[in-house]
Amino acid sequence: MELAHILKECKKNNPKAQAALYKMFAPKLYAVAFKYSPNKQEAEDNLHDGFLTILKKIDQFKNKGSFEGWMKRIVTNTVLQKYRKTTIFPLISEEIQEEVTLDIDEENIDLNLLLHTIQQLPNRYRLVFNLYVLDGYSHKEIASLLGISEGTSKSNLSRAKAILKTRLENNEQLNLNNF
Amino acid sequence: MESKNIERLYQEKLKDLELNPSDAVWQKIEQSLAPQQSTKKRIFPYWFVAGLVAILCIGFFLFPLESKINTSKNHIAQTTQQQDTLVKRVKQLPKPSVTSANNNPISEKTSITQHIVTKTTQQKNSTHLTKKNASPTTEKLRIIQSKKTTKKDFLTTSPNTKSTSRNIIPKQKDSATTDTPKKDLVAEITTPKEKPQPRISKKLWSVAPTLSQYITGALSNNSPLDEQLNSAEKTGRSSTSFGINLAYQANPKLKFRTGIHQINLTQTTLNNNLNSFNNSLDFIEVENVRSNNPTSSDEIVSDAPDISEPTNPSNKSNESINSFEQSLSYIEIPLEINVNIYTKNKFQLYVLGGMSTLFLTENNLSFVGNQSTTNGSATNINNLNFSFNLGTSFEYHFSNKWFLNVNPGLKIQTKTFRSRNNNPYLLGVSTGLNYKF
Repeated sequence: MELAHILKECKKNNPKAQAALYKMFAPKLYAVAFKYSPNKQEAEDNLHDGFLTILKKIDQFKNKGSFEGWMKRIVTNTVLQKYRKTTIFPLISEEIQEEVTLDIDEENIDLNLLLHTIQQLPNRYRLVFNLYVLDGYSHKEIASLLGISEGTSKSNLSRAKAILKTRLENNEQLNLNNF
Repeated sequence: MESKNIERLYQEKLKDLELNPSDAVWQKIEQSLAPQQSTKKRIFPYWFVAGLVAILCIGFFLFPLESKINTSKNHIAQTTQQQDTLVKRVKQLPKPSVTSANNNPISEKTSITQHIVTKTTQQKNSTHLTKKNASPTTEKLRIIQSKKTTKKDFLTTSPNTKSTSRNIIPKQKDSATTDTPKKDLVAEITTPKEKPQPRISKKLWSVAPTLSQYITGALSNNSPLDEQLNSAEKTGRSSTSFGINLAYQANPKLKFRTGIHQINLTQTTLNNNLNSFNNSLDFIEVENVRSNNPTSSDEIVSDAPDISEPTNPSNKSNESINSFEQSLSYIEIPLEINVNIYTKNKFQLYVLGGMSTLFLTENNLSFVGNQSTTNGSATNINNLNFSFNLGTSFEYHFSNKWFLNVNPGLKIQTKTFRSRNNNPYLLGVSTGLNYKF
């Protein structure tokens, strides 16, 4: 089935089309949910909630722009709504480091490790890191999306990168020790 | 080992990331979707069946006398006399015939004597119409040529007095009392249907004021008025109908529609059968016709003094009937299934079939003469009628909330007349501006 046809049928609540749409886009949407969520279980819950929202609002998609992008934004929003209000970490005033580099052998970097380190970040840090680094939002947009200031967004990003760096380096160290 | 920007590392590694969720996720999504779909499926039959049952029940309650009326016939005859010495009795019996007598054979003019015996009198099981010819000296005496003395409804046209016209025929009382609750109950049926039922999800309901233009015809040329008019030329008149439609979109392919409409059938029968009828407004004797002029029960209730007002029979007695104009009005409650057969962009095409329940609200029959018109009503019209509906519906959805539909269709009535010699139909087109909610 072509996407246009699936879309049309989904708008009519055709169960087969809904299943086809899920099959077609679940891996991409789950990737979004996964990197924004703290763990696999919550990632699946968020995919579930996000996909239901997609089906519910599919009438509102006006064929302007990418349908995939529209769906990803819905999943992202689903996650943001869930985690943006949680402030589980204390405010830390520190210098904002624009560039964080680490010495690392990329060959040893596993995809799962990268995802795991992101998921391990505190909620706000994880959201800011994902939005800014992986999905290309500006600090201004992030500030608006999360209801924080741009400064907080920058600070959160800096802190997130520092944590990631530490964890990756620790992991690198662990790998080296294993040799 | 090299120095690597951490942002770039994540961007590169996680670019176009795809991960497969467990099958449980889709199963949960399906479970979450299922209640919505099953709810939609469940809502429809309850609503549909309840509506259908309500309409049928109320129909049967409203017209319990139908069978009795069917078996009894009113036989009214008229003769003319010089002065208005009227003796009138009504009788409603299975196979009555009517006797009319000319009480004043010497007179030149005519007056009417009607023997109409009502059921309430219960005096006779049958009456016979015997026509006593006026005296040979009577110039204008006219006599009904009643070949059929059984199972006939005779028109009575009597130039009656004002006082008698105020009285009410028992049968008319019956019909009057049944008319009133009928309207109320019809309103009761339709009121809840018109209420928008709250729907959480998509806009499945639509409501529309409709305007229809119909032409009336019949499947055969048989006359519902009298067999003698079977060969007469008949023409249906176009009529305009108003109403409200309510539709429920059960699924993308299927839509159910009901509503309430006022419809009107008008048929003109030219009286070209000169040999069969006396062609006089005074003497017309048609099988299934009752005059609206004060007759029947007036004649029971009132005694001679009440109806002694002189009349002027000469006005009508010579006038011939050019045509009969029969007009029937109904409140129509349709139940129709619309099947979507074509959709493109904002345009949708449905074929529809269904049936309508029709409640008679007006039964009028006019005898149109050269100079005057006499009103009456047909006695063989069922108060409850049904029609089978076929048609197509073109819909243009110009916004999320509004669409326009044009609906050409054919409605064939099934129980218009007690004598099933004819089935009228309405062929026409209706249109409406629909609001979805």
